[in-house]
Amino acid sequence: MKRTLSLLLVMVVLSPKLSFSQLYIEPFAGYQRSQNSSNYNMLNTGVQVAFKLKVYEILGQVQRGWPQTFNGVDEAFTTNTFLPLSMPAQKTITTSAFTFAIGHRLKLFGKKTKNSFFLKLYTGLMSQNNVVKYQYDKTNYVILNPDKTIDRTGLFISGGFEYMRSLKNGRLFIDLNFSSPPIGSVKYPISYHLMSPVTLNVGYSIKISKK
Amino acid sequence: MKLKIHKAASAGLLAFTLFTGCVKNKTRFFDDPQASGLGIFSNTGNNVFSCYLNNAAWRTEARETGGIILQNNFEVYVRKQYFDSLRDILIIDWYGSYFGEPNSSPDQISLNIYVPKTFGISDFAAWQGKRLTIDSSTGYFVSQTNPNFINGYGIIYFNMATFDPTIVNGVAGRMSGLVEADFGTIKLTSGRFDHNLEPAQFFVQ
Repeated sequence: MKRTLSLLLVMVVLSPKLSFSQLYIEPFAGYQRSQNSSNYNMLNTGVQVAFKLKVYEILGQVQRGWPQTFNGVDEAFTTNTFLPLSMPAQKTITTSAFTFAIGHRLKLFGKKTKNSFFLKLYTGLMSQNNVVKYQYDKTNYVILNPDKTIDRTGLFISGGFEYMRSLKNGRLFIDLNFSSPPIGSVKYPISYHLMSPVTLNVGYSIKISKK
Repeated sequence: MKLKIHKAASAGLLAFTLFTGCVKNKTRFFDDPQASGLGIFSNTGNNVFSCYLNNAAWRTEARETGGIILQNNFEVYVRKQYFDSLRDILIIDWYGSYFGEPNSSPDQISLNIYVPKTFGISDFAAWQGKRLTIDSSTGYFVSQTNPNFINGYGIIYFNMATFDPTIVNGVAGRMSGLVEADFGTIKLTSGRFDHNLEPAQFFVQ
């Protein structure tokens, strides 16, 4: 964790000096789905601050993936010969996520029109919390290969494309973003994957100040 | 003087390397949140047996292999041996101690199952998915606290009992399951085991 925070600090310090010409606040909301498991999808909301420089924009973003519960079944066994050998153990995994990222927005097309396309790149910290709960006869049965609650925070990178339309008092945008899971291995044989989300967000860019 | 120190240090380093070099710990222990001190019930080859003996956690020692001079250290052996003119006996020996007390007793828990003279590796594999009641007619458990042995009876469930047909020299396989046993003064509860069996520890043809 200390190493991760140090890297994040270095990343922020190495960002270009913010002599920006325009500041935007950009609330957004959307939907995310894991690239490595079709089971995981959730709603997310967030806000980012955009500092417009001469050739591109620097972004500071916080995003929350709201808790979503997924159901599964594992098998539990017993040595008690008066009971059936096995029974299903109902499993619920409640997943939520939080990210803090520094990003870059680079214009690809649309310099002289209201419609623009951007390339976006982010690096930052992602926290994923997967809470596992079981319902079964805990007195007599033992679950085979049980899952475990995993709370993981680590560096991540992401990138994607964005369409933006300039309006009178702001900018409307839609972006598609592909993200890595938090870096680092899980030292437990869980049956699920940490989410590697692909996110579709819609947001509005509110102009705050102008030099 | 400096040269002597350098030589002694080199000799020490060499001895350390010879004794411990390339030793690989093949045991993976994952705490069971439902049973303090015990490993999870698994069938993925974690090479561990753990249980409660009168509610105190007991677990097998780590499997360590590959040392240059130190011998391999296995947590379990499975072997068949002569019992009487009519039957052989299949013995599973687990070596371990109470959790956090490396030299405590019992240091060995065994399961002895009476088997026909013709019992072979395919008969072992036929136990997969079965619960075997261990009573005076089928076998017995042993809790070994040298020089004392306490016999008991109980139940074993083999979630997995397999062998690898591709191994030419010796027999290799895998076994996992659950165990309960009653030794009179000692109660073995919540036992769970999960082992990859290598030819050096699996003596059933």
